Amino acid sequence: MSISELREPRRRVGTTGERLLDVRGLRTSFTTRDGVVRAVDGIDFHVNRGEILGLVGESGCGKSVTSLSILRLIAPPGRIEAGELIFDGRDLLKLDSRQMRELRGNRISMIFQQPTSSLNPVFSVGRQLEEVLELHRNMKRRAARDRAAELMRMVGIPDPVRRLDAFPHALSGGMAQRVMIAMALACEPELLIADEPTTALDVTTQEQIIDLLQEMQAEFNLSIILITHDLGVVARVANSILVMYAGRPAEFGEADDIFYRCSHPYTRGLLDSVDYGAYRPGEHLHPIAGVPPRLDQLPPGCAFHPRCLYAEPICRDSVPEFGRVPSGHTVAACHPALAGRLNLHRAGAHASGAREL
Amino acid sequence: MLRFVLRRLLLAIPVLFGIIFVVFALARLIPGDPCRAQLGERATAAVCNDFIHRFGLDQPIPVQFGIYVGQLAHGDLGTSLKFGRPVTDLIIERLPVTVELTLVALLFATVLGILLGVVSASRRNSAVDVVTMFGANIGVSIPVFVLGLVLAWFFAVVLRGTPFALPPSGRLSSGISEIPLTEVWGLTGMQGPLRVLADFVSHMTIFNALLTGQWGPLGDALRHMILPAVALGTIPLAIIARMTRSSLLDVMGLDYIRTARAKGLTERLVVLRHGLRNALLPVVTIIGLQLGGLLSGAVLTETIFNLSGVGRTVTEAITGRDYVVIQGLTIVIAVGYLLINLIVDVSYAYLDPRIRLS
Amino acid sequence: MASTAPLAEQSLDQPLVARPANLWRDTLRNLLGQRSAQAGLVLLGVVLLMAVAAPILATHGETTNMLDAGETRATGAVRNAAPCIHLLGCAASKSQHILGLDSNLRDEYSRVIYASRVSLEVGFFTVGIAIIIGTVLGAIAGYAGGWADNLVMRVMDVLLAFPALVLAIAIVTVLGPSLINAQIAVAIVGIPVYARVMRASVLSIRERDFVTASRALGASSYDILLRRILPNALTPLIVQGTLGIAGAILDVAALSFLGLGSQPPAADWGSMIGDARNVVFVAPWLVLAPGAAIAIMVLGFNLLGDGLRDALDPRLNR
Repeated sequence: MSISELREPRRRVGTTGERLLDVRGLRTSFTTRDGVVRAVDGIDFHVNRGEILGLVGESGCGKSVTSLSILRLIAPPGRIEAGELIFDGRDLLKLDSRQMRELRGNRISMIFQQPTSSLNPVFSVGRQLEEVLELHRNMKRRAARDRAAELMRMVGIPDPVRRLDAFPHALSGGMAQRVMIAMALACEPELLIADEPTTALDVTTQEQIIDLLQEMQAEFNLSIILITHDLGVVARVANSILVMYAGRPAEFGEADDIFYRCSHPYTRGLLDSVDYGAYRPGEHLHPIAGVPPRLDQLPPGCAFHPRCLYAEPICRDSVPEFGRVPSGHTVAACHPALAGRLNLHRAGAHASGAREL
Repeated sequence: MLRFVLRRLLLAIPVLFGIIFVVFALARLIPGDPCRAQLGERATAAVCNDFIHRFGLDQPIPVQFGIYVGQLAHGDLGTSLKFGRPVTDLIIERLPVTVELTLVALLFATVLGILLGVVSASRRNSAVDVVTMFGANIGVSIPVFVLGLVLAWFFAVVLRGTPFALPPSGRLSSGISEIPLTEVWGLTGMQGPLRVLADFVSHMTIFNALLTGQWGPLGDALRHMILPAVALGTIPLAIIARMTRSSLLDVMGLDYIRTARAKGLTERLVVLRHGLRNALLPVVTIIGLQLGGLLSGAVLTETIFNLSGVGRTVTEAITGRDYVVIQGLTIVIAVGYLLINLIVDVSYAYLDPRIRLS
Repeated sequence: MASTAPLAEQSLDQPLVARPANLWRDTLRNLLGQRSAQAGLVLLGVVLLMAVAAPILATHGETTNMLDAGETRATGAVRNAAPCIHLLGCAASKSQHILGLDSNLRDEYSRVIYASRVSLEVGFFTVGIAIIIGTVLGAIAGYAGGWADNLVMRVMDVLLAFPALVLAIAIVTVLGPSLINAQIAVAIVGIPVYARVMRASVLSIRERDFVTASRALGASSYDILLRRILPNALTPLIVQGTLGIAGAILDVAALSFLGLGSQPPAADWGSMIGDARNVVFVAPWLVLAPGAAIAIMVLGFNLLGDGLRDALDPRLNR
């Protein structure tokens, strides 16, 4: 049975390229003993139907908080302070909790970094799949079970009927992530948020899961927000890219714009730290010199300036605005004029094979 | 699963022999003449010689132990000096009282403890939480016998004449009696183990009334059970509430809870279906550990509330220096405790597929 | 008892890292910063004050019959006399007894005060014995391994297979009722907990690098045990011991309540409650006062134990 045969008619036929999610000025903060920490501070980006957005940045830059904010799964002491999350024309932040629950797992789903611990150990995987179908599709147990088996087959789990009764501890990481994907796709969502879906997996499995996501994206006309710190993966699959640094956006635009016409020194640094042109599995990011700042101890001005090779006195004094650059994408406009130099530099670096940044 | 149960049973066997050996050894350690210790001070020399020979007390210790185990295997726990009846008979008559009291107290502690724990965890640092946890700290610190006496005084004396007054002793008010289910169901002619079981159940006032539909006596029996059950159940209640709270708080921070929320489940379902089921695993262990305390506390509770269960029988036997009874009851209580722990282990395995399927 | 093994061993087998000396100061500061430990220390301070200053705080002798002390029926010296406090309006003609008199015409308040000494002594003595024996057995089991380990731990399993008070009662019946025998009985019942703690500590530390290193340097087993392993086992022993004191006081009080512990005329909270048991409906204060005293003391040790666990447990100091 092919995947398209399995699919029921969609409730809403979206046009590829139409804007599905528009995030404007999202700000999420956590109250700690030492004060309020802004984990996400003024993020703007959008995701189009049927496209993959790569969300990249170092650990702790606010990628996961951004994704959890979209589902409004930020638990106290965290709080979404400001912003708009326009999903299919409606602001998610204005929905009541019941309306929001109807969207979760139904029109917007999410998969996580640790697939094995993201599944409840005391329920069989079949039961956990059925649960979401019973919840959003009002399916009866029997029908939900049949559908669960179909979903498991769809995501490439061998012998799916028998595996329905398996418990999470008996699954490998890759299998568990496939189950998570089956669960996330059970209600044919329009948006899938994948929070570092391959980080905890071994290298061959990583590739398979990314392939599966791409396949599903094509079949379902799905939009995906793919969170990762692996630029290689992003280079391979993303239509557009958001680069985050210390809770703030550094650069957002079409994948090609980011890769060939980047305008932010941080993006430049990230790009140079991995040889994305000839992506080799398992190659890790070698970040820019220094470590990302703690969110509760951000340097004044541009948070990146202490590590930035192009820093000028003004970087210490003012926070750069997020705005358009001539190439058409948006960037934290610290050095719009640098753009040319950054990309020239890149070409030079490539030629010499050096990693100077 | 079956293999798990079998392995647990096998592991219990050496412990069972250990229990028997300890009780046997304690009996032999009683200072003085074993004959007079068991038959009383006035036993004559002839009677004693006969006794010593009959029970093999002139045999080497290992042989004596063998004889003792043999007796136990036949259900022979000796004859009470004070009552002049076989200890086994006493147990069939009195153990049901203890079982009933312990069950009701455990039910009270478990249901209310889990409920309070869940409420405290889901409203962390709220007034309910603070009061519950403060109460739990006090609850584990009040001795059973103090709480029992204070409850008896408060509900029988202070509240006398109000609708909240409760009887401080016994199992049924005078003038109220129950027809044993053996009579109701016409089982009086029956013999054998089933009859023993039927007798056992009919000695539990609440279950007997419940099974035979004697609603008047049932209400009266329940009213008599409230104070002892609360006195006995308060310490486990406090411990279970604390454990449930901390365990649930731990679980609610785990990845699969986030998954459950991302599915769109209501917070209620997230807590009750995905959180509680996992959080209860350590609580089951804690409940198992409380059973020893419950059986210990039953000795005190029965003494205070005049319930003639095995606990009170033990204290009576102490005053009457009725060693045979103490020995027999100790064995029965310890073996019962061992069985309950087996059941707890098995139910733990049932709840946790990681153990069940390994 | 086999059933406790999964949870208990899981928590005990956690590696316990050797702490440099200054961490003890941090620990103390952690402890004093904790609300439960603060409350526990305050309560225990009260009890300690009672015990130390008993002769000053008490208004009458521990075992003095008021008729012998020169009082008469007219001044209120009757059995189970209600509390008489002049400040609260008790007639001046009656002699003052803050908590009334017991059935032997002794001043209840003074007896409650004096009895704090017995309970403190009971708590420390009983747990002390249990810790010493338990630690030795646990160290032997953990260190020797093999059949010795098996033997010791199976015996511990058997001891744990009895409900604590029931076994203690059986032991006291053999030894004969007295306070010291009650304490011995409760101590025996308490041994397995400490043996398990010690054994787990030994096992988790025995194979550690620094022990192997010590052995390579030629340190004797005895040296290793005393200088390396014992200090590491101290943390869980202190926590268990503090909580164990609360339990021991409750159990010995229960034995005294049943007449198997402290014998008349000595003042002891458990036996005082046992004596007042049959008059609780007419003289509830004779139960309430010593009852509250036990509860305060037990609560104090419980709170301090909880505080110690939180302060000493490295896993919680995130």
